[in-house]
Amino acid sequence: MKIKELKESGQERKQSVVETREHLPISDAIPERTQTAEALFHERERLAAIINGTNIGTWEWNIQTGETIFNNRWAEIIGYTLDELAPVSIETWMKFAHPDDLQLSGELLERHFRGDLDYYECESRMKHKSGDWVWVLDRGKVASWTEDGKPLLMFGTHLDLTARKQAEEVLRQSEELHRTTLQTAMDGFWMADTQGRLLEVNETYSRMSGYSLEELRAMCIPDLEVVETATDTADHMQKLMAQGEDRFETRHRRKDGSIFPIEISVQYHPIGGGRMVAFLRDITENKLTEQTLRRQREELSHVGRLATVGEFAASIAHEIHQPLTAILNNAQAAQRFLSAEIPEIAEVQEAIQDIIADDRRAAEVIRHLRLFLKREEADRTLLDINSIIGEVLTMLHGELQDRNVLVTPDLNPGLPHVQGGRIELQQVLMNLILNGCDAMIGVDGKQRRIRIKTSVTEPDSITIAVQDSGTGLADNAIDRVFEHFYTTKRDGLGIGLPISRSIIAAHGGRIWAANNPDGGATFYFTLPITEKSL
Amino acid sequence: MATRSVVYVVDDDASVRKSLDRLIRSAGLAVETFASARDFLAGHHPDLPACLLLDIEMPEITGLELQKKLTALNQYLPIIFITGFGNVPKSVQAMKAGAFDFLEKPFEATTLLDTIHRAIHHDIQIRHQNEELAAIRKRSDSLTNREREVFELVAAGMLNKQIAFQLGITEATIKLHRARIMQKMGAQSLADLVRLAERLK
Repeated sequence: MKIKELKESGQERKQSVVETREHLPISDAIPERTQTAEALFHERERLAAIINGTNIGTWEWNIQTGETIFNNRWAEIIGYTLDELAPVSIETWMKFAHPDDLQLSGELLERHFRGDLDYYECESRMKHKSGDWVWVLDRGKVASWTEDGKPLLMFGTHLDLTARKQAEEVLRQSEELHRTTLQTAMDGFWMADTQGRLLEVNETYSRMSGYSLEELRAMCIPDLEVVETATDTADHMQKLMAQGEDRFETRHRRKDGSIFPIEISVQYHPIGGGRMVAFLRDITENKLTEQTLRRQREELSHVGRLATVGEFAASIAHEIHQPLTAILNNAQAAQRFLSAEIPEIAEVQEAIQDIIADDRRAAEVIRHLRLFLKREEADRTLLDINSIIGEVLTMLHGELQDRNVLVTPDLNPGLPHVQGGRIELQQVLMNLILNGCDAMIGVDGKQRRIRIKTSVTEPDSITIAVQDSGTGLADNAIDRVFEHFYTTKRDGLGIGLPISRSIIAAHGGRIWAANNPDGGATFYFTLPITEKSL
Repeated sequence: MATRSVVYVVDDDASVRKSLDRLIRSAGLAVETFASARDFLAGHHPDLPACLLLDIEMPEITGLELQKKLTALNQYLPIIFITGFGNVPKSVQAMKAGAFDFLEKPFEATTLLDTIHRAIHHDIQIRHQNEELAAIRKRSDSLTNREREVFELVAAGMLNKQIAFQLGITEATIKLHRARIMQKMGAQSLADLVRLAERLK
């Protein structure tokens, strides 16, 4: 449309210029102007106003002679006045145009002259008076031809593109900055269309996934997504378009087939038919940390349970220790008061009163302890010992891994249930398993293995065996391991097995140890099968 | 034990506190008992020779914390810690922080009383030394600036002649100063004077 106008205006302009050149005096003779002259005058005014209004430079060129006419704006674009440039010819253009652009311009002109191009259009740089290069949009069309078909007159315009070029440059730099930012981002970046096709991907995601940028740009989201099916992803994208943004965790498959957890923060932009802009973070490390934390929590709960036994024992010891200390002090004070030169009977009596009170206090502590144990007994329920073994192995999972111990459960699936305290039996099993681990500390070059076997060995009870591949027990140790404060371990307290024995005894079972014929030791305990479970 | 002295007992357990009070009184010693470190800090008499029988495990301010507090307050007091069974690490910590001794519960009366006697004796000695030092300080404070200068040079082993030369005054004046210093410091001989200077360091 514009071009058409230009073409037309060019044609008309050709006439007007011709008029101007040949009939300049006309303007001085306005009173005598004819209707045609008046019309021409108006036409000229109108064109001048348009040209002025569009702020474009104009040029006229006699291709055969090289003569040119420029308007003021033509000169102004490159910082000169027409006077400064005079005398002008096609040489003036050639002098100011950038050599590279001049060549392109020459080629385009030639194609236009040949008739390959309807009109001539070329963006080219010109040397400004200040020394800078200014961009001009140079457009034109041949208006008349010689009789032998050569181009004769050509008319055209110069449009100052500096501002546009600067804006383009700013835009280009800003885009480059964005690109660099995205490429160097710690997170992966994607831009996808609403079909899930990847349009833009950064280096980080390329490194994460093991695919090259080219490969990724030819891929779709379902090619990478592991958790969601293609249908899920399509639904997810519909949801995203509705709500504008989303943040979620999923997993992606690398080129080598391995899978990695990823957190995605995605926004939907309704530009260019809809774009999903996503940042993707590899959260393998987070997941590992989570796993470590979970394991630590499990270990803590196990340590906590063991600690409970220890702490309970310590607190009982303290509670009985205090009155015992007071009793001893009072008794010794009484002795001293009695053996003084003048025995102080009143002091002795008071001391004896306090001794009685402290003795009662100690008895009270023991009575409380009994009540506490009774309550524990009341908590007994029907238990599946196999599932308790499973729970203990879960709790000890981290510990066993750290100690490089392989546990092989050999559990009788038809094992009858027993009546018991879940936590107490967990403690016994934990104790035996950890003891087994301790016994294998010195074992190198051989798989550290613990076998846990449950079976019905007697008509009315079940037997649980915890077998290790450790160093075994010395003959004298076999009988003594269940004694209080007896330990073969450097850091052992000697309370784990006695506590286990009391627990099993309270359940009506037995516990014992034996060496295996092929090395290592096995700890056995039995639990009576309750009538209800039979 | 000629000087009046006192044994402080700080233990949160009432019956242990009472039994200790009785046992210590049976040895003819004055006792003051406190149920907490806070009560002790508010009620003890820092001027009396004493020792402190301190339970290492107490709610709120523990025995170790009270020990630290007293050190911070610059109140020296021999502390005998009473510990429960098997609390070796804490006992070691207490000893490193300057405790006089520690006793594991339950303890023999003779062991306890013997330790208390030693602690009080130690405190009396320390207090005596501190008083002496305070007296020497007071005396040295009465010296004029010039006398103090001469005192330091005499104590450093310089002859009157050398001191006179260094200070730019006559030997006769130095002699006068020396006589005055001996008198003010209560020294009988040059050896005495040097000893006093050593203690002031």
